[in-house]
Amino acid sequence: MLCVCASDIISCSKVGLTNVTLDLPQHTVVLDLSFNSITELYAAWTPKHLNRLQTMLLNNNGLTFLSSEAFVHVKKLRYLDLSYNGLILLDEFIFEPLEHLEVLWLFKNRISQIDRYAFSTMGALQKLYMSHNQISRFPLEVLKERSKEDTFKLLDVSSNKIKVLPVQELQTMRAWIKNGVYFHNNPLTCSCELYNLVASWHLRELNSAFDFAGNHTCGVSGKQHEKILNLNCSEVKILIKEAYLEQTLVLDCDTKHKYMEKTWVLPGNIPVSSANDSAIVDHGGKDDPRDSFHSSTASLPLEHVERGAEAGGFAFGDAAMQKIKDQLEQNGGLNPIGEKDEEWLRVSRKR
Amino acid sequence: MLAAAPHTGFLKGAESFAWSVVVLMVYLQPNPVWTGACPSRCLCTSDILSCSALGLDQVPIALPVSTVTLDLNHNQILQLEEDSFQGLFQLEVLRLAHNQLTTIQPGAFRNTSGSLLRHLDLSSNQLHILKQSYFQDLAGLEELLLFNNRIMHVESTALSGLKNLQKAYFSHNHLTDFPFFSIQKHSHPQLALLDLSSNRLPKLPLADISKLPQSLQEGLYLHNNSLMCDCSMYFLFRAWEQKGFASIEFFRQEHVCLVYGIQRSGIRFFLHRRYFEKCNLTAVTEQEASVSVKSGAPLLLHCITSLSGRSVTFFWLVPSLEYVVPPGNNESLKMFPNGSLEIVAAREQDSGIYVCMAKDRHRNESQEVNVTVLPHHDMGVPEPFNTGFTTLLGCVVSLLLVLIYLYLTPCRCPPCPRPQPPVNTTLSQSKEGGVGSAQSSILSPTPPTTTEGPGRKVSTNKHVVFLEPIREHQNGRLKPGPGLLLEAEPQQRAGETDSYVSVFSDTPIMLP
Repeated sequence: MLCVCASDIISCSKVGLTNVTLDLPQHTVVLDLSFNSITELYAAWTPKHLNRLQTMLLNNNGLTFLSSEAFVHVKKLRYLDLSYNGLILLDEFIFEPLEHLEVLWLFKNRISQIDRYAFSTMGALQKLYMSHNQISRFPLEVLKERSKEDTFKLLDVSSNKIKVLPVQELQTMRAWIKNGVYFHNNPLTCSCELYNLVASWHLRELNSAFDFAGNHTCGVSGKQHEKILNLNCSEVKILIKEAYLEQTLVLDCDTKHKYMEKTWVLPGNIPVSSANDSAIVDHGGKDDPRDSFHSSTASLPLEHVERGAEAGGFAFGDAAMQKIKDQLEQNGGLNPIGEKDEEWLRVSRKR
Repeated sequence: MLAAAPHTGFLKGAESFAWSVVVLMVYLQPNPVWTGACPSRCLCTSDILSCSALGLDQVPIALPVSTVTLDLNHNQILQLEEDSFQGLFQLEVLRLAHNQLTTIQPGAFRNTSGSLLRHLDLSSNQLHILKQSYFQDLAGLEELLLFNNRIMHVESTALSGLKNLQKAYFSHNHLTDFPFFSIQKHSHPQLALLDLSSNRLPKLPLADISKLPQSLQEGLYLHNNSLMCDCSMYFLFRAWEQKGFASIEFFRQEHVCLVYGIQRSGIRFFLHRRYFEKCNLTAVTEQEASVSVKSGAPLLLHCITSLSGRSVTFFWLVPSLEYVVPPGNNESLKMFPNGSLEIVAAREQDSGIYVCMAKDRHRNESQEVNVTVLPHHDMGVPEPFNTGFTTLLGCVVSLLLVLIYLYLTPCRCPPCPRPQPPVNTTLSQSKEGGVGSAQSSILSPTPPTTTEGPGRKVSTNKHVVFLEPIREHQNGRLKPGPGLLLEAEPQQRAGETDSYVSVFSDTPIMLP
């Protein structure tokens, strides 16, 4: 067995390991056990606590069994790769010790059953990849526990066996959560409700819908596979608000990335400033617009709004500039949503 | 960007063939970049593109632009050509470990995500040199893994521009030098780990290394190299050890140096420190302990380590190259189970470095003390007049003078006969007898003599002033002589007890 020890990295990839016990040094931060033949993992794989271990790679091992104590000695793990294995079910105990785990790769296994509490203790979870399995139930609990928190970014259940999406609940979530919910390549049942969801996400250019546009398919009684976006349903627009004169209207700036600086522009491209008493911008209770990662709402008393005009919210940030245009419809006038090309800014690391 | 149509269908069934032709034609031009489909046999899921262990000999073309993590581990890719990853504007993590890479062409990372790429794994490849051009487009790189290659040379500007670099792994290569001077606080402010272990470094540029920021020195791994044993190199590692740096603590046994540079002569210099005792230690940091002791005086050295518990064993290595364990060597050295070493009477040849080793089941630690034994004539400033001796001298002189006065001066009165008190010898009380004999012993030798003198304590249960019929004033009552001791005994005994009590009452009884 020829592992390579590079200070805090121990690389034992493709060295012919089987179900062994490893006496690893306490300073290990990254452990690569990929491409071996570790088919079962019990607590005894490491006799000592490895309190500094942050990354563990167990992909491509033919792993079929994880005992409930498998990760009891590596409680500080932040990144765990279990992809390309043979796991079938996830019980509530396996990941219970992993309260610091941020990224979990479970794609390309044979998972068909996930306990509802399988991920309930993972308070630090940001990205959960479960594509290419046999999952038939959308794990909504993963999103519901986390939608209030700022850290969750991605849930990938694409390429599974999911028939029903919890459309209502998904639509109530913030755009930056929807941006990371990947469900394409599933045998979903066609419906106009589903169409509305996919179409609105596509219009918003959310990654989960836009990047895999051609792969969102659905079927009627499991037979045909139609592209969801080709369904014959009524047209979807992003956001229409109807209001009457003298009414105060509250517009929400729901961005697909967090930590974006938001500004509002009134019809006629008049920017909203704090001195402008025609509109009041509420940045979620914080003074600095850059802090308003949850919402930014603008209240517009409507006597200043012209007929059929547009008001726009511009969200600036570290990511690509995007716009959300709200249409103000008065007496049935409708404006098409036009989008100009915006200058694309450099993406920075912090999302 | 898209027009306002509510939905788009890019690759609609029958048009897919035509589109793929268009894609191909577009790609053959230098610009623009088209959204790529998933390369065959790779797995594309959300933001991951996994193409590991597919037998690839080059990076696939037309990769999906949404890729954030690209895994190309365990393939047979020989080199990275220019623009290999163009269009991957979201790429953050790139894994190319376990390939056959020998070169990276200039521009390999051009038109990629630029400073977004933060993790680059090139470990377990065949790279033999790091050129300046390799990483010039990766200004945001945080982790660079180059271990287990064949790198012999790192160009001095290879790492310049990597302002965000935090961890760099160069272990298990063939490096004989490294441009430490190119790493400074302003050029690499975040660098906290630089792993150069398991290479072939013969000599370290100590001046350049000392100028590295402390935060980097703490994460500078140099173990398992071909270092030549010399004092200055030893001092550097000693200083790091004393600061508790992890690079030493976790790899103590792997710090080897070669005596005279000969390959087979490697010594683990943290375990065999005596080789370096001849180094001029005055140059070492202030934390080194040094003790001076006068010739002939005893000296107690303690073994101060962080190890504790019952299973800790100690031994000392002394300048005469003896190993000392408890209880000592039965001659000049005594050693206690707690690790302390006592030099019974220091001699000049006991000067030198004393090394204490503390060992438990898992770890060992050592501590050095530099002992200097000062010879007699080298006592320095002669001591001022010794008051102790003076007092004793005065005492003796006074006593002599008193005796002279008593015996050598003429006596004016003849000695008067004194009535001898009848001693009751039938009493079997041993105490009384003891008292009586004590009294008589006090009585017999000399006429009025003071039992008091300088330096002599007065015991509280003897009230001896002048030797007349014994009147012992105890408990405030005048007592007759020994003849009536029988009756007075209880009082006397009580008095004794009282006086004993009074002696001891204010000192608490200390139980061992």
